[in-house]
Amino acid sequence: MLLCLHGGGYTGLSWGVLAAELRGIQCQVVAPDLRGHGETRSPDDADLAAETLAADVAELWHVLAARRRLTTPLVLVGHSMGGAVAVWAARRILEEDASCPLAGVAVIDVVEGTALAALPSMRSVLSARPARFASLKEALAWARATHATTNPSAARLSLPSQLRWEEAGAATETTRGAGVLPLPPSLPSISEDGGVDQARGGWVWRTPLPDSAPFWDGWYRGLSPAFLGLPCPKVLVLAGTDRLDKALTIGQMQGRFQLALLPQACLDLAGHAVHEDAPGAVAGILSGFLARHRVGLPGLAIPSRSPGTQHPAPSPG
Amino acid sequence: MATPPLDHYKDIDAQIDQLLQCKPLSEAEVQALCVKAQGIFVEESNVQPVKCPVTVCGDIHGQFQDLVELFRIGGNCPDTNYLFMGDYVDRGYHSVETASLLVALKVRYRDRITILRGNHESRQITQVYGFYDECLRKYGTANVWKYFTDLFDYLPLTALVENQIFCLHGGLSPTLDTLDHIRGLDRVQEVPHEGPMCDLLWSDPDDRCGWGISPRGAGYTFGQDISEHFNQANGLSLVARAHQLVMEGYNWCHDQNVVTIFSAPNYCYRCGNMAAIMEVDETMVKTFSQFDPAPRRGEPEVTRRTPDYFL
Repeated sequence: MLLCLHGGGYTGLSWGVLAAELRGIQCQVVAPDLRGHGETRSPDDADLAAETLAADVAELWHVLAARRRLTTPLVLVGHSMGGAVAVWAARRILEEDASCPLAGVAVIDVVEGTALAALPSMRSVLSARPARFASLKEALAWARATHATTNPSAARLSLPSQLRWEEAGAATETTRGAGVLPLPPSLPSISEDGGVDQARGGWVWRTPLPDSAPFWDGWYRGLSPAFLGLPCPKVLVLAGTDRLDKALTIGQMQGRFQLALLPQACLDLAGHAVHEDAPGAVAGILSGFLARHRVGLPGLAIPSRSPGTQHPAPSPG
Repeated sequence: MATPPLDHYKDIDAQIDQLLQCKPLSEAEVQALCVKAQGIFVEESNVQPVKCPVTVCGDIHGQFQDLVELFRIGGNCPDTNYLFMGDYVDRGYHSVETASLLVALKVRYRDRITILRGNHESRQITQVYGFYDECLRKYGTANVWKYFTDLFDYLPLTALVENQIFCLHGGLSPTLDTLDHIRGLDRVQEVPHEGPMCDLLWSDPDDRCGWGISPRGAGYTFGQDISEHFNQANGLSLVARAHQLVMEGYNWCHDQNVVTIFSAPNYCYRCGNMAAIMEVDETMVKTFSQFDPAPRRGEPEVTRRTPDYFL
């Protein structure tokens, strides 16, 4: 089972186009809306602390495993904030149940050092997002123009689930403080469209990301050593080597995990949501990782020199 | 063979002097150099015999100033014989100058320096880890990258010091029990994704016994039992390899059956590790010399573009 954890503000549908590219692999893809995101409702939607999200994921796994009497291996896959949650959840699941069949962790486009370095500029990045869109079409145009999601079919699937319709005059916490910002010039102007006329309402972000600021540091601090410390196979999917911090550069150069760099041709087309923008490339990396570590397959047969004397190896680890 | 007149080497000596100042050669010079070097490498064995004394070195990764520091500590080539175990390019800022200098030294002093292939001496890897981009930046075209990567196909895979110390970049392969198996490989090709040649350039020793799947995504991990058996079966005293960063620059493992040597200090200008080289003298006694990063002049500070997102 691939348990796929979306990034901050996204939803489980962020994984839709990737899942479609995973044909050829026998696996279940479970992609929940995390707390405070999409259609998930919880007693405290505002509590996006790393421990809380990790506990949610661990509980989800235990429930799924119990209900289905799962003995199939678990692979945690996470993008951005979800990548951090995948690591914290993996650690928690193993602490709670050392016999959990955790077969791998895949982290996509997030590294402690670079994420922490980006924190100070994060508020301005968030406030540069339009607070509301007159129509979903306008939201899709925005996503394409700003590289939030460059793949139109991924955006059509993922972006609407990040938004909800808000009636006129019903301004809530979601829009508080975030001004309506100028859209790129190629877009129809807001006033012409008449879309953001408060009298008509509009599409607003479901998850009030600026409110999650107190939790940002906790998502990422200590992430690199925690990732390296996981006792299962690990793959880190990144846009470039310059994203690695010191701990991961050393870890990579000691051969402690697989670093998968996306080819430049993909990156030219892709933004941060590489699994949405380049689903084929990311699916190829994931399926190679699963096959290499024999996830869900019979144990490894170490090749030997003479084909006649092949012997199954003792299972590693 | 008659000794060629001294001025036969005038051009290459001038090129070496230029490279030692970290000034790249012209594209035409690189092309000519690679043609000459190919003629030398093609004659070498997959298990290239090497005599002692020799100084054995690990990864360099384009850290040119540190290579110069290595020669300062180990002695200049050809006063000291050298054996480099691969990974000359990628990550550092001066892959072009590093590869050019080592190849020029090989052309000038073929019996004094041995250059093996590392997993980064590959078309595919160099396109994502920096060497390709550096060639484009310094020459405006990818021609120099092509000359070098075509040449890398000819690099020997392993070396054997006095029939006792087996040297290679990565490690052992479950499909290669003897040195003769390695001698039989057809090495002139891009580094494959799997198979014996890939394993020699990618594998790592491990605390666990037997063979394991490498966490790297290529090659295997091998345990002490494997190293002991390989050394015994081939009459070896030691496997010397590089490929892994070790904080002290060198690291013994597998009850002294394997040593790892890493010669890029403060790897990637951020890791804080020491570098080391292993000197093997006339009596096969091994001495390690550690060194810190060379003082830098005019090298950009590490500035990394921070992503404008993190969610």
